[in-house]
Amino acid sequence: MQPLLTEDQLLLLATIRSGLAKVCPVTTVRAVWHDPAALRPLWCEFANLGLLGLLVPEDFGGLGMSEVELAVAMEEVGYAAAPGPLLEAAAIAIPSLLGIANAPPEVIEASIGAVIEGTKLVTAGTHPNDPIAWAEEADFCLFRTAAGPRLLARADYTATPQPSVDACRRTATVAVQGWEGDGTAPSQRAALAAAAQLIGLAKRMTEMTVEYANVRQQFGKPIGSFQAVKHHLVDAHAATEMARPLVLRAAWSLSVGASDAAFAVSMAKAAASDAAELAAKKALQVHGAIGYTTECDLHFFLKRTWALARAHGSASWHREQVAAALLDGPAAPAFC
Amino acid sequence: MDLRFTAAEQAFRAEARAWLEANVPTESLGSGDTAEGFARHLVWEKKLFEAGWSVVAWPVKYGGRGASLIEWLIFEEEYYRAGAPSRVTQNGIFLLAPTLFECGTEAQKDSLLKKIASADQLWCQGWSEPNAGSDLAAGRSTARRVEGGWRLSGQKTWATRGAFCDAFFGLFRTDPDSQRHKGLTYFMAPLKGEGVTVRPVDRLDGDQGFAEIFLDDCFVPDDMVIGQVNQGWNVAMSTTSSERGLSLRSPGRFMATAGRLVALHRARLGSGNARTRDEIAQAWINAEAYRWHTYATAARMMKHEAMGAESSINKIFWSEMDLAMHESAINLLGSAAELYEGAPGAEDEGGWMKGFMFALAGPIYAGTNEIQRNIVAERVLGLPKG
Repeated sequence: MQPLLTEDQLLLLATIRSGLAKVCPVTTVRAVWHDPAALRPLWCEFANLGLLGLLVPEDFGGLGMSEVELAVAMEEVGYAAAPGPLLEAAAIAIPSLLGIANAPPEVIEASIGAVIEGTKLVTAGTHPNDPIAWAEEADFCLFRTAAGPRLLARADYTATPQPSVDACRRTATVAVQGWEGDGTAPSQRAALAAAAQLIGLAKRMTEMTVEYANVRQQFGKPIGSFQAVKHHLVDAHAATEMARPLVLRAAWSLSVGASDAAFAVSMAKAAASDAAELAAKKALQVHGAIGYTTECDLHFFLKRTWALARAHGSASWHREQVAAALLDGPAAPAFC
Repeated sequence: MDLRFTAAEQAFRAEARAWLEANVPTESLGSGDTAEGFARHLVWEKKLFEAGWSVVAWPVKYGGRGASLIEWLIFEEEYYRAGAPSRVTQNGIFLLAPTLFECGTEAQKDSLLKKIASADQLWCQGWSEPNAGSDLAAGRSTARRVEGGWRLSGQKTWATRGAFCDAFFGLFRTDPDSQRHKGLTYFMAPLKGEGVTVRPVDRLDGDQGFAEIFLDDCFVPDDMVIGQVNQGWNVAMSTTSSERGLSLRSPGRFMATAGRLVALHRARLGSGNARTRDEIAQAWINAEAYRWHTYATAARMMKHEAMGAESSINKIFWSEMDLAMHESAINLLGSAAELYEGAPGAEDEGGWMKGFMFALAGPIYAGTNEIQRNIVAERVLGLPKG
């Protein structure tokens, strides 16, 4: 049993973190927030970091990695509140391109190539009728239908913008015939990727708030010296620390095709959603009034959290999946 | 990262499972916190020791089988899965022994460890005093230097199983001019004989072993000191880290509780309702989180990374998880929850209510959760002291 990330995985984590800090500081998030056109050059930078082709085999120009590396990468995406359909592209759309039936191989290669290089923006619908991030601005959108995955060019679908509280999500609804979604691997991967982003968001919000609490003075001392403030931040930190192993475990389960992967993903999404929501609440409370402004960077992370905590299945939806496995079958599952 | 158990780990689990299946008593031993129950638990401890299961991760020469920390976690999962009796030796094994391993002399280790493992000598922790609970450094008990040793005076309180044990360990002030955590020494001392009186204290969950210890010039020889004289605080801190961190409450305990909670729900409520289902799911999720978190912690410790203040997060988590699980259980029981030992209508003889009462103690012992949160805030997050 090797529960720790390998040296390579830790290196990937560090590389993506420093890469995103360089190309996607909060000022860039703010820029995209106000002007979606600012995403295009940023999207190429994400491609250069290898974020888009993580799960694509090396033969097709990807990194040939597994869901564990996807989780590591998505955690950093959350940490940076990086805008754009990174989850949809890296976890769903791009890996699914290989499964598109009846497309000539050169078309597949070309589309994967363009997409991995970041010159084309691609997103994916995961759950029918749910809003899709960046569907309006994307060049392609992938849907899972009864006939297998379908990649539609922008001209071939109609998108109705549905502005989100998180303006960096650019959500829109799309009507596509035969779009079914399903509970199998791509949708589980989306939930796992969202869970990983939520861990990153939680970590970042807690870190920002600790920094603030060390600096902000009232009554002649930093507010972080007051016990109530300390306990708020400890609760946020502890919830995140305890949720993270579930996310990595779920990632590993998906990567080896474990029979209980869906169960593992549901536990991860529930725990990560709750941890991030708690971290968001504590972060805002400890920041006080300044945290309640859009001038303060905190609101980007709060709003991403509020959206992702409920996207790809909310905590209570996923807990119900866990409950069904525990309570409704002929026998309860065993831990070991 | 690979979460599969190796062939060796699976074999270890199978061996433990088979032995436990063949040897765990089918009838309850009664509570280990009563005199009769305690005696029955000692018989079980000796059986465990003779078969090499008492302290699996210790070196063979001290009664262990040299298992890794991961294997120890596996053993604990099997132990609780089998519903095996509670470990009345736990304070010696999980609190004193790590201190001996860390700070004891070879002579002390050779003389004491095997007896701890075999339950030939039962130990309890004499930590708190009436004026020194969370504020351990406020301890006033003293040790006066005499020929060949020390004479201990003072009072220790909240000693779990103190009424049934042979000896205890605790801090005594050896430098009369010292204050707070300076000038304390870590002593081992008898609970029987001249100069020591043990007075049981009734606990609200019916435990009869809880005790106060009164020392009146009780003699202990020099070799009963662990570590250096006046360095007791540092010695004690190593104990406190294992108590909070890895050793005291392994995930297996809570995995088994979650399993019993699921079984209770299935038996009494079937599919239940949205609220009960949500609570059961949360209990299982928490147990799984603690399990995978602890495997990772064990792996880091096996790479000799120090655990430090992160262990406080563990303590907060398991104690509050355990309480929530028991609250869910007594909620499921509804009006039957209050029915206790001797009541024909009681579920499991009031076991869940008793467990709930003990779970309430979790956020208090091994360092209150308020103190733990302060520790995490200051030493992990880097927030300033109050």
